[in-house]
Amino acid sequence: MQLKYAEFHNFKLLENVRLEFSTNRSLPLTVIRAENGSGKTSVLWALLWGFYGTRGLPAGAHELRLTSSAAPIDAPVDIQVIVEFERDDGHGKTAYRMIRTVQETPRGGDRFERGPVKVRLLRRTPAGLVDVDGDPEAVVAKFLPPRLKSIFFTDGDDVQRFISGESIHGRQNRVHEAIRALLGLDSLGVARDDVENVVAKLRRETAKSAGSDLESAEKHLSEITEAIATKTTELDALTERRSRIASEKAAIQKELNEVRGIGNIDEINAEIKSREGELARLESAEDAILTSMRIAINSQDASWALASESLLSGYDILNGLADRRIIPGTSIEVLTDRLDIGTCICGTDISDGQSARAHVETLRSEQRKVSESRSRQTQTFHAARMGRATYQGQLEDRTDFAHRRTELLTQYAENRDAIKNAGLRIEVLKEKRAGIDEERVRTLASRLENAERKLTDVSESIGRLEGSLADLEDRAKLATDAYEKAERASKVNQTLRTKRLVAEDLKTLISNTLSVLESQYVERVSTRMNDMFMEVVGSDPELAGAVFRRVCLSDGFDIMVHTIGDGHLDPDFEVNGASQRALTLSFIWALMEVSGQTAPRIIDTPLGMTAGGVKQRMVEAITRPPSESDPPFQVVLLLTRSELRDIETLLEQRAGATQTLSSNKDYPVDLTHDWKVEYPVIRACACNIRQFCDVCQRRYDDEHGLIARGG
Amino acid sequence: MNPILQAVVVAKQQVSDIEVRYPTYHTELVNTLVEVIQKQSEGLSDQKRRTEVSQLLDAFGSTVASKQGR
Amino acid sequence: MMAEIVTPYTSQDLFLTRAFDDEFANQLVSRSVDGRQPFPRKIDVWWVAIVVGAAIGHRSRLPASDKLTKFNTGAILGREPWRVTNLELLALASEGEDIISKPSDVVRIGHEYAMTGLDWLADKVRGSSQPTITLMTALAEILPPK
Repeated sequence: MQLKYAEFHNFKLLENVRLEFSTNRSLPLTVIRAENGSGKTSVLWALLWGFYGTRGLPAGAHELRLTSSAAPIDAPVDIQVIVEFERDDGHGKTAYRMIRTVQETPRGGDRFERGPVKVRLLRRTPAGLVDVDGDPEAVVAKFLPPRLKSIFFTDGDDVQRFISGESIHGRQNRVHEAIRALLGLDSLGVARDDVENVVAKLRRETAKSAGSDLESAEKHLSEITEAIATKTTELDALTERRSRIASEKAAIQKELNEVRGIGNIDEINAEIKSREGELARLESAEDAILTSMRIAINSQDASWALASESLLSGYDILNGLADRRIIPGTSIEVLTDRLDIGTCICGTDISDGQSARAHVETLRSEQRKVSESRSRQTQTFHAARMGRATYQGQLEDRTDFAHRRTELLTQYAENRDAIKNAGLRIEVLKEKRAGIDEERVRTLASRLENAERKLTDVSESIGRLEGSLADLEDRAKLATDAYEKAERASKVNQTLRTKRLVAEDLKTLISNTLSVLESQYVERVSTRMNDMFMEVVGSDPELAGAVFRRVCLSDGFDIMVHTIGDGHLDPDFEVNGASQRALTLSFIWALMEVSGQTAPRIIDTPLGMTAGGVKQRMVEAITRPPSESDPPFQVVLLLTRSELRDIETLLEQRAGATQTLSSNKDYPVDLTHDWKVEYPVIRACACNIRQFCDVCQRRYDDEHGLIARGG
Repeated sequence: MNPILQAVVVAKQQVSDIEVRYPTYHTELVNTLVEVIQKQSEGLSDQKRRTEVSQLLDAFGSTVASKQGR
Repeated sequence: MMAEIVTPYTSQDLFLTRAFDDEFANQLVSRSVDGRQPFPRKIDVWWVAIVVGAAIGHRSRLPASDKLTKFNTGAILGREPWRVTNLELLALASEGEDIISKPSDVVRIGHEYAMTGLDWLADKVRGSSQPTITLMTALAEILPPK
């Protein structure tokens, strides 16, 4: 099925908009350029409404008014959507026109009145347009099954519904349904139910005609079969519930890990304490250094170091006096000591009886005779000798005040740095600690516990249910055997019996065919989906660093993402937005290709969250024209200017039709020209992605290299 | 490929698991399958369709019974 | 023996300038053990000022007595007799061998060096919240080259 054009009248702000779609086999793409708020969603909804009525609109939009919110109160508005499309029904192409009309009268606020909806489906014949036989909606439903509408009409976020959403079970169901519906497996399912219906009918008839034994065996079997059906439904519901809880639990766990990932609060506290201890020690060390400095400043070493010139000069004066023997070279105390010891300073023996002793004794008595001033000089000289000797010694050892000063200043500076660093480290740790919201951790941990409990409960219930189902199935087998035995025993009409057996054969055949087909299709869709996804996402399994190794559909109809190293990711929240979109589009495309369906694929904002190589490859993959042997297809992309960026050339190469939608609500902020219309409205113009005109021009269009259409 | 044709291809393989009641039984079973499926494209209501399927199987069943000679 | 060295000076008055005392005593002098302030007592300020003055190599005249404040007598030098010896060496270097028998002149010379030193100290530590560090750092300027 291919769309040819659509016309919208008074649907929301689409006052009078006509859109043409490309039906060129080698240019399968139609681009509709529109900024957010310029009608992308309205176009999608208008098409959905056109085909399916309000039931076709997304959940939550069923009761919304279809008229513009600026429509005057109490004035009836005629809303109409016309879609012309073409279909190959095996006998060549037939053109159809779908027309849906309704009158709506706004009554203020969100209130409105709506008249009856008129739906017509016309077929183009040589004689002109003719209404189709049968209910137009039923016919359209066959062309575009309503429960697959999210495959045909996808909005950006909807695109992810196949792989995200409340539960794995829900996802699996949606995928399963999509496969069955698109691949014609539905009809097999219906056929099987029809045949099962006949089987049951024949059993009843057989039982009635054969007598009470058989009748009661049949009744017994029927009851068990019904019980199985009921329990199976129950089981489905519980399984759905379990996978929902499991998803919830995973999300809570993830959040908890994130919060905990900041760090273990006990560890952080311990480190803070240790660093604070370190800081205290460093501060004490600083005090000690300052005290040492004080001692040094006030020491004799400092005096000698600073005033050395004068001090040495003074000392030299005294030394000169001593050299000239004006003052004694040696002090009285020293001489007395030496006489007592019995050895001179130079080592000579001056003990009693030695001749040298007399010399020293003479020296001593001479000293005693020296005058008072000389006496003072002598005292000072001898006292200064020590200081001077110490100073000289320190100079040689480099332990003088100058060196000590440098040493202490360096120690001080290094210690200061260490203090600063310790302080910074403590601040960092305290900030880190503040990030751990203890309350939140507790709340999450308790919710997790809760979820685990619920999971256990529901798993137990499932276990019990599975047990009773297994039980029932055993009993069903026994009941079937009993029935057949009773049937053989009673004088049953053999023809009736044969009919029943044949019907059962057919039912078995259909069931088996159905499962083989499903798994065959699953495999083909899986392979095609993988090829496309890997092409788009650009992972080369050989390249180091590529994350995705393979995507596939499991037997349970789950979309699975395998990573390098045999791990796998949950596509719901372990795969980023761009990859999710690529995955879903790959799935849809694979489905369409394998099923050979030619329904149009209309996608609103497909490229949000994608950029660069992925964006390029995705557009490349979804707009690639079909090969000779493939059926034709149509893809309609509703794109904003920013989505178009970097892929303009590719789009131009593939697009067989382009239009632009604009809204005067964007004047004057973004839209350049005043349309001079007093109410908000959306208009289409023929501008392609490189052009602008008086209708659609926006403020920065010329900066982006767009040119005026028509000159 | 047409989904119905695809189904037939597979049905022809799967039918070998069914007991052969008489030589041409399998072929006829598959044909009946096709007829049952085709009832869905006749634009009938569910009720009507089931009735017609029932009649179909009734007729086929009679044929089988007579061919089995019992 | 120690006492002998100090005896001639015990009755000598020791002065700081009022200005310096008012502005800097609190900032620079503290008996407490920690080294935040560089001087335990005013005698230590006086002595280091003398040494600084000697390092600079310049003596300044004492101002009028109303600009001076007596903080102690020479008796306080009993604790560090080496200071007396060093003061005498400085006096000898300034005015010759006979100065040493005139204690009041020795003290005068000390005060003259101290006046220079106090000005320098004031200049360096004014406004500092870490006078010990400031002083230790500033001493580099007057330490003789190695």
